[in-house]
Amino acid sequence: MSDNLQNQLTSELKHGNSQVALKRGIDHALSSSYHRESREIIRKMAEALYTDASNEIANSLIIDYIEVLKKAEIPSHTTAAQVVLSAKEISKQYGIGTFHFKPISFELRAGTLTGVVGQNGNGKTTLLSMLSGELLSTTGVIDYPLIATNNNDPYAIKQHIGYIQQRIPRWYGVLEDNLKFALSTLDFGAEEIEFRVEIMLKRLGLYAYRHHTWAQISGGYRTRFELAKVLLKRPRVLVLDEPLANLDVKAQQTFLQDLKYMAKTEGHPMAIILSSQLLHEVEQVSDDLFFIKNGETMHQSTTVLNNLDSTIIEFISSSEFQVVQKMAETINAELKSENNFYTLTTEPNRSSKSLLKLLMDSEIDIQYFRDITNSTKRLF
Amino acid sequence: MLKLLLRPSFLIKFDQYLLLNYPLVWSSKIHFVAWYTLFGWIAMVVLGFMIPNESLDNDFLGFYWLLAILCMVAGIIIWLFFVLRHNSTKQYGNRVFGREWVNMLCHYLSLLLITSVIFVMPAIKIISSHIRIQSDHIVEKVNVLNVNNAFFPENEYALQQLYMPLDSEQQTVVSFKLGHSDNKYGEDSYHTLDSNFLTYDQIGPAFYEIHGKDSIKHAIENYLSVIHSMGLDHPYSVSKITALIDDTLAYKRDLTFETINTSMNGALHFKLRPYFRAISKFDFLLEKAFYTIWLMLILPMALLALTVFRNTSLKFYLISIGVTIVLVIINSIFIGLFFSDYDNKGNNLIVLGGLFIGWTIVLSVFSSRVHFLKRYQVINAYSVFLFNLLLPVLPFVFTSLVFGYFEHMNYLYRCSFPAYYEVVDYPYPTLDYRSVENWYWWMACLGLFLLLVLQQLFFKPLYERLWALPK
Repeated sequence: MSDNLQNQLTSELKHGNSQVALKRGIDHALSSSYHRESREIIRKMAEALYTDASNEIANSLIIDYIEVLKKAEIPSHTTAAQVVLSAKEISKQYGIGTFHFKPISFELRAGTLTGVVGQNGNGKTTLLSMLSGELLSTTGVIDYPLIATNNNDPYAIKQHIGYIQQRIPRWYGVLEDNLKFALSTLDFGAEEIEFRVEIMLKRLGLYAYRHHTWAQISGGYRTRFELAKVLLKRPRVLVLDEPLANLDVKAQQTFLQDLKYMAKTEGHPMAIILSSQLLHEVEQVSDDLFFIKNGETMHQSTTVLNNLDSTIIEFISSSEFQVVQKMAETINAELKSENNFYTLTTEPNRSSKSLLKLLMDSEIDIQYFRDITNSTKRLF
Repeated sequence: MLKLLLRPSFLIKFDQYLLLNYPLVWSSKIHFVAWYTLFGWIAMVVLGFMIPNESLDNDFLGFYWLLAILCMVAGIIIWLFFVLRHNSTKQYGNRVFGREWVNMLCHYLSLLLITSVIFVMPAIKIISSHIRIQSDHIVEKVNVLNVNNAFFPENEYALQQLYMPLDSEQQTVVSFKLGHSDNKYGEDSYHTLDSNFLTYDQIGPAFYEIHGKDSIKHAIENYLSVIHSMGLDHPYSVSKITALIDDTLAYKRDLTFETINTSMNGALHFKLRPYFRAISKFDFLLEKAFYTIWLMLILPMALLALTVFRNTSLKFYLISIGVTIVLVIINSIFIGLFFSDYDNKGNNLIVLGGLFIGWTIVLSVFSSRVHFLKRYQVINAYSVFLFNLLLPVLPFVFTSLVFGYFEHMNYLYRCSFPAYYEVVDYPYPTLDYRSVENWYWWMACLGLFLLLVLQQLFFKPLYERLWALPK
């Protein structure tokens, strides 16, 4: 039993996050060779998560699970922070005079979540397609140090890469059968397949839709289905292209948090990379962020944080433009506006707190305010 | 009720069992194929008993075969549609290359089951007709009739005439008597009535053969007794005729007796004719070569399904089917408008094949270029290319093989009369050559088998090459 997992679960319980503890416990069970004795408890945990059971029930299940895990010897093959994917100078040229994705080098580590942001048509999908092996890069090399087998068999490597496309391909038959089929091709026994699929369905809230077909479920559930299918294969690298596009606001938050937990799953941490237009949400959960513009990729860490030459805020106000402009002029700031959405760029020594105070003092009505100094949003 | 029949609970349970334990078998949908094939068989058995033998004329059979083949093709298309719904290779990742045998076997058996339906009705006809005409009563009656009414050539010259090339009209008659009419008279076939008798079912008087020394001697004795009872003399005795047969015909064929179309024989013949008709129409089911060809034809189809179809998407599968249908229509119109040489099957086949291949290359290049330009789904692009290339060519290959089969049967038949070809110097060779041709078939079988084995080996590198992972 890993002490880390035990500590994580205990910590979540202490903070009253029993639902999170359930998720972490289930994620661990699904991503590792769990102890068979714990199967019934895992099943109950999944049921408790799915039915949103009371904290008491959840707590008691987690405690039981911890007890079982204490007795079990569960090998951990991967530890967080190990490099799973290493890209060296990869680039893509579709044709002469067409879009060119400029060379980039980076590493993806186990247990991290990396966001890829940028406007449409700037190369996000190109980058993710290359990483997932769907698209051949024009130059450069991608290594998979943790995945590579004896012969560097690309087919075997690809089995460890989960890729969810932007446009989810249609599937046929009922949802549950598709998940079972995905798992059965991995040589699990019948009992194990049924168990894992049931747990995964409950973990991702798909259980009620298990007998539904593609046409009977919404875009959000299709995304969840794809995630379930990919996660059942226990990938080392998870590549998601615009997975938030079909989710509502609440589901987006849950989805991203789930990904963060899954990335850091004890015993089987994954390197997750996802692209999205929802910059703010992705920034909140990402360990690293790429900003792509015209095929050129910039790291948040190297590009944004190392070049803090100004303080930038954005806000929404119903006040008149002249009032806002007057305030900006008083501090010699650059103001950009689009309807009632404003972006204010000032000297780096001004803090966002002082700028907010200034806005308040100027009696400017504020409906939304955000400091984007450290955000890649400023690059848009 | 219909749902219960089409998807009974035991089948659903079995489906789930296969899904969890044998996913490759499950994805081939062979269990559903077997269940629905059962319905097809039942329907065909009913049809076999409902259709009277008298109806089995060329018009009806043409209609039957057209409809049956269309249904069979539709069945294969629908089956592949369901197979492609769960494309394990592309969408579901892990593929165990050593287990391609399981996949191959399932695909093969599925195709075998689907194609078997159209042969059930002919099989029913053959079996029921044989049961009727092989009853002891009828066999005895036919034998007695044929023996007593047999015609035997009066002298050696007349006997030789049966094999000598005379003028074209006489030669045709001789051929006709030999049961080899080059299809000029339409029907021409023979059937085993019992171990000693072969009958020719022709329009007009029936012809019979008698095999075996004892039977021939018995027939000659009966024949001469009939002649004598009619107050006529015959130039030869039984021993003379027997010696004649031994000397002249021993290494050729046995003997041909022509029945005299007496009222009694005619009545019996009329009574038996429908059964002979049924047998003559479907006697290919009794030939070993038919099964060889059928089983061998399914192999490449199964390979195609396995290696190409399973790597294309459902969308492109449907597009390719649509393209194929359009191609068939365009080619048919083209041939109808510009080619009037309908009798020349060889030319038509070449033209048809050429058109198919030409259109296919144009469309394949066009469709695959679209995918290559997008650079996504690299495997798809190659698959579409292969799929588009192979699917339209398949009917042409199939047609060629079927024609080849009939040619082969014709050849085998001719080979059974080497004396005829020796006399007329016909280009068809001896029995030795026939054995050489058998070798070709075995080599073809071996080639397909090797292909089956090798695809296990070469498919993986191919897959790796198609996959875009940078090396």
